[in-house]
Order: sequence, then C-alpha cells, then structure tokens
Amino acid sequence: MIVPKPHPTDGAPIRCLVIQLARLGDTIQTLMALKAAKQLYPRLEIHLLVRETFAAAAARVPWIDELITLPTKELLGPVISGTKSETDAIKDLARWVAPLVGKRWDLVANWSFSEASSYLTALLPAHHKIGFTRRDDFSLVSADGWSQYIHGVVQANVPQNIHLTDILTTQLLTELQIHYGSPADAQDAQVTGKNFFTLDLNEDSAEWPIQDSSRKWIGIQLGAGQSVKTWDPAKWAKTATYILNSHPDHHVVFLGGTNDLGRAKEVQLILQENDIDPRRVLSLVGETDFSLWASVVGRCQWIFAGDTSVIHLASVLGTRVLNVSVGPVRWSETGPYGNGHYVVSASRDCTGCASKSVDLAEHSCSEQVSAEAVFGTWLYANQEWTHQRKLPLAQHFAQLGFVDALAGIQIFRSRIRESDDGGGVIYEPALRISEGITPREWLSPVVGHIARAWYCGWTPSVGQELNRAAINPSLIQSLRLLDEAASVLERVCGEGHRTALELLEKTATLRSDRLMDLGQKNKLKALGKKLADLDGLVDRLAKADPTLEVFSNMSRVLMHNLNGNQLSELGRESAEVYRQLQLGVQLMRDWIQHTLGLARPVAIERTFQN
Amino acid sequence: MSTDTLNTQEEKDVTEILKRLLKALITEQVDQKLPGLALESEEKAGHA
Repeated sequence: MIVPKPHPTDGAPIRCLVIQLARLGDTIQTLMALKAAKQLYPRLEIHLLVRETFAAAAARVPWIDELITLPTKELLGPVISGTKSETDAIKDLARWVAPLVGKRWDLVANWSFSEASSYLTALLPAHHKIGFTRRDDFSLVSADGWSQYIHGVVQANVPQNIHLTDILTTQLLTELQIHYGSPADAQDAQVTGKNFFTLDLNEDSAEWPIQDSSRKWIGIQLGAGQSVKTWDPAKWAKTATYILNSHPDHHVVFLGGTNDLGRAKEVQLILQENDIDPRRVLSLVGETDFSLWASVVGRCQWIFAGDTSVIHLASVLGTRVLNVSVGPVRWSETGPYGNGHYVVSASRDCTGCASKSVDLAEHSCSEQVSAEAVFGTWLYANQEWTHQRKLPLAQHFAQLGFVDALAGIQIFRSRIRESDDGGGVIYEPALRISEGITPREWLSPVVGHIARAWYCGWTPSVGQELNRAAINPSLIQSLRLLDEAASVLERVCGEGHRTALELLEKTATLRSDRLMDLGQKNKLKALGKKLADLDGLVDRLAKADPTLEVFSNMSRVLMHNLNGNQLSELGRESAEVYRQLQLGVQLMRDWIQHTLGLARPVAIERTFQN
Repeated sequence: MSTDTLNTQEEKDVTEILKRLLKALITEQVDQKLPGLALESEEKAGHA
C-alpha cells in the first residue's frame, strides 16, 4: 500500500481525465459511475475522452467539465484506406495528443482496459493512475487492484458477479478516498433518472405519437452488437403480437440503426399478417439521433432488448428493461442496472457460447428462448404490484398455458443490494433451474465475494446468494473434490508467503543485489527456485480443477505487476501476493463448507399430538 | 471495454492501428527524450 501524499491544495479541483475508448454502452456505464463519484466528490473536475463516434451521450451531461473526442475516422481512416502512411499518421496523432500531455492531471482513469489505451495512458503525466498503462519498458501494467481483477478475472472469462458499473464506481471512489479523503455526504442523491441527459429535441419530434402520455409504450430494440446476440425478428414480432392483443392500451415502438432496417421490415410484415392495427405500432428504426432515441427510451414503460447499449441507456433513464440475453453474454457483468429489470436467457451455455463463437450456426441458445417465455416474463413483471411476487413464476406460466416455454431457460430479476449486504446490483433467480447449479455457476458469487474481501476490505457473510434448492448431488461431489485441491492450494500459498518473507529477510540486510558472498547467493537462488516451483504448483492445481483458475490467473497478473527493482522489495511484494491469494482460497473453502452444510439433511422436530 | 469481443472487422482494424501508432509515438518520445512525457504516475500506483 502506498502511503497517500496529501493533496497540496485541499479544496482545489481534482483534475481527473477519464479515458473510455470502447463503445456507447461502455460510455453510458462510465457516465453512471462518474455521476456517482461527482455527487460524492463535488470538486472532481471531469475531463472525459471518448471516441468521436460514441460521444453523443457524454455530450449531453452538464456535469462533465470537458468532453474530448478521439477522431478515429479522421486520424485512422486514411491509414486504413491506404491514402496515408503510418509515419504521417503518427505526426497527426502527436499533434492531437499534445494538449493532453501538456496538462498536469491529478488522476488519469483508463476505463478502456485495452492495449491501445494503455499506451495513451502511459504518455500522460499524472499524480495517480488507475486502469491499464505501461512501464518504462512498455510492458503492460495494471495500476491498481481492481484493474488487476479486470485483467485476471473479467477478461479471462472467469465467472464473477460484480457488475462492471459497480467495479468502475468502486475503483474510482477507492482511489479518491485514498488520495483525497472521505467523500461528502451525498444525502442519497439519485444517480439515475429521466433527466440524466439534457436532450435537444427538434420541433418535429414533439409531434410524435410517443409524446402522448395517455398511451403506454413498449420499446423493442431489434438489433444487438453481434448477430449471435440478436434475437430472431419473427420472435420479436410474435412477442409484440401477444402484448398488443392482450393489452389494448399498449403500443409498441421499434428501435434500431440503419443495419436493422431489414429486421424492421420483417417484423412489420408479420404484424400486418397478424392483423395488428398499424396505429399501435411505430418504427423509428434508422431514424433516431441520440436525443430522440433517449427521449423515446425515457418515455417507454419498458425496453425489450438483447445485449446492446440501449439496456444501459434505459437503466440510466429509469426505464425498466427486459433483457433477452442470447449469445456469449456475461449479463451479470453488463446487464441492466437498477431495481426490477428482468433477464431471460438459455439456462446453459450452448456450444457457441462456450467457445464464444461468432458463427450463428454454432448457437442454439437463441432457439431456447421463445416469444411465450418473453411475453410471460413481461406479463409477470408488469403485474408485480398485483401479485407482490408472491405468485411463483412457474405457476404464472402454468396459468398462461406456457409451461413448455420454461424448458431450457432461466429468468432473473435485478435488485440493488443494501450496502451492508455487499452493495451493487445483483440478479436473483426468479425461476430456479430444476436441476440446480453447476460448479461454474456456484463460482460466480464466490469470486465476487473474494474480490470484495481483496479490494473493499470487508465482506458480507458467506453464502448469502446461495439457496439450498440450487444445490444438487453433482455439485456436492464437485465441491468435495474441490475442497481437497483448495486445501493443498491454501498450504502452497502459505508456504509461498513464508518463503517470500524469508527472501525479504535475507535480502533486506544486503548492501547490494549484486555484491554478496557465495553462501548468500546460493541461499537466494534456492529461495527463488522454491518460489518458482510453488508458482508452478499453483498452475498445476488450477489445470486439474478449473474452479481454481481464478487463483492461477490472479497469481500471474499480481506477480507481473510487482513494483520495485530490488530483491527485498520483490520479496515483500511477493509475500503480499501470496497472502492475498491465501485469503481468497480460505474464503472459497468457507463457501465450500457453507454449501456442503446447506446440503446436509436437517432433522425435523416431531410433535406428537394425542 | 475490451471485456467483450470487438464487433466488426473495421473496429478491430481501428483498434489495432491505434495501438500501433500510440506504441510508435511513445517509443519515439522516449527516444527523443521529449519533455512532458510521463511513463508512470509520480507515485507509482501499488495495490489499492
């Protein structure tokens, strides 16, 4: 831990540059995290760097002090088309980057988590940095604990259940608290809401029928980021038909970009065949700029969508979301944020999802989710005030005659958890899969719990997210085997900690890392070899049981990010790494014991009555 | 965020070229020892 240097000018603005070079959905999640930070640290001066293509959302929030855009088309377009050499493009890029390098930043937060952005971050002078950057030798470095977690867990496809918006928010708030003290009392100020963006709507849009507040609108975003994440237009049309036939006061508006025009045409043809009154259907596909799109999304009662930026837009605007999650999506990390959103997806990864394939032919997940499943879920969600969620979802589907629609799917409902329970958004099963959870699904809350222990310093009680009904014999068998491997790993980490401390002790008294007697040299060599052997053992244990991959991945990332050049510094930091890993393994073992305990038969007290 | 696959070939090209250009730029600045370059934060960020 670095001892924080007090900020020299308390009360002065904290000049913070945030780099977000990913897409619109990431930009909106970034804005959510920044608004939370701004409310807690009013003197935070936010300079946000985004790609020009995705700048529209950030341009409409008044509390961003400066919006900087990276003109990728202008800078890189000529290189892609071959009309400009890379040498000339570097000069253009240098001219663009010069004003950023010329400023003195208090904090640079690189939230792009990409290789390209790490070079840009390395170029910028700052008191503190978080996210990916580069060392003097240009090797990648994750500047803080949460970035290491993104690198070793999130990007490595290890299951975990902390939403990315929560990771970004916690990461920034932790950094601000370390360096600038405790936050102001935000008095429960709302982050999300209909007024999140300042929209500039033209006069024509005021006449759109969606402005009529007496009508209820459902927005359906037809496309998604990838074709494998896009639900079949015929199923959207069938879902819309169910809604419009059963709810005379409802209307449907279709949304999407110009790429979705073909899908919109297909949907409209089907609705026509189904004798749907065309006055109850509006297509804005290919016709919305950001302002109109956000205005429409904000006025809808519900947004139905796959994995695409509209679910984040609806989240910040407080519109409820029904997320039809198909394709290789980690919706617990990037799903709709807030209370009362629903996620419907296939219950298990299909072959294509498991391999993250972009070939549509390899995906059967989309077929699993039917229009009846989506309509039934929406109907249940929309009537929550009536049944108070006391009606089991399966019973609701039985009443609709849609029991078959539940086969092969899972349904979750989002909830913002109390901070005492761990905080952040979680997705609770609204429909439990009858066969119980797999070891991989069990792992997700375990890893989230470990992360909170590592980076927040405290955790809620073990096993909160786990329900007895989700445990099956196969999971029990896997966890018993896992516990054996984890107990070995715990001892390996303990041995690593002791060995690294011994290395620190032996090297702390050395005058130099080069000048030492032969005995000292041999001893250090032996300690170094032992640590290398222990690292190899961590890897082998993870290969034998992939549930332990989280530790081998984090071990590699943490060891790569060690600071210091002297042996004693490396010894001290290695000891800290092994301590961190050991804490994580201990927590995993606590979860194993808790789960095995839940599965034990419970004696029921028998009451005799005469 | 690079937690997900890039959606189109065009995006992959843009990201790859941007990476190459920024890498070349930083190398050039180091070689020329230009003022204003900061490879690391003043206080090296450690484990939070």
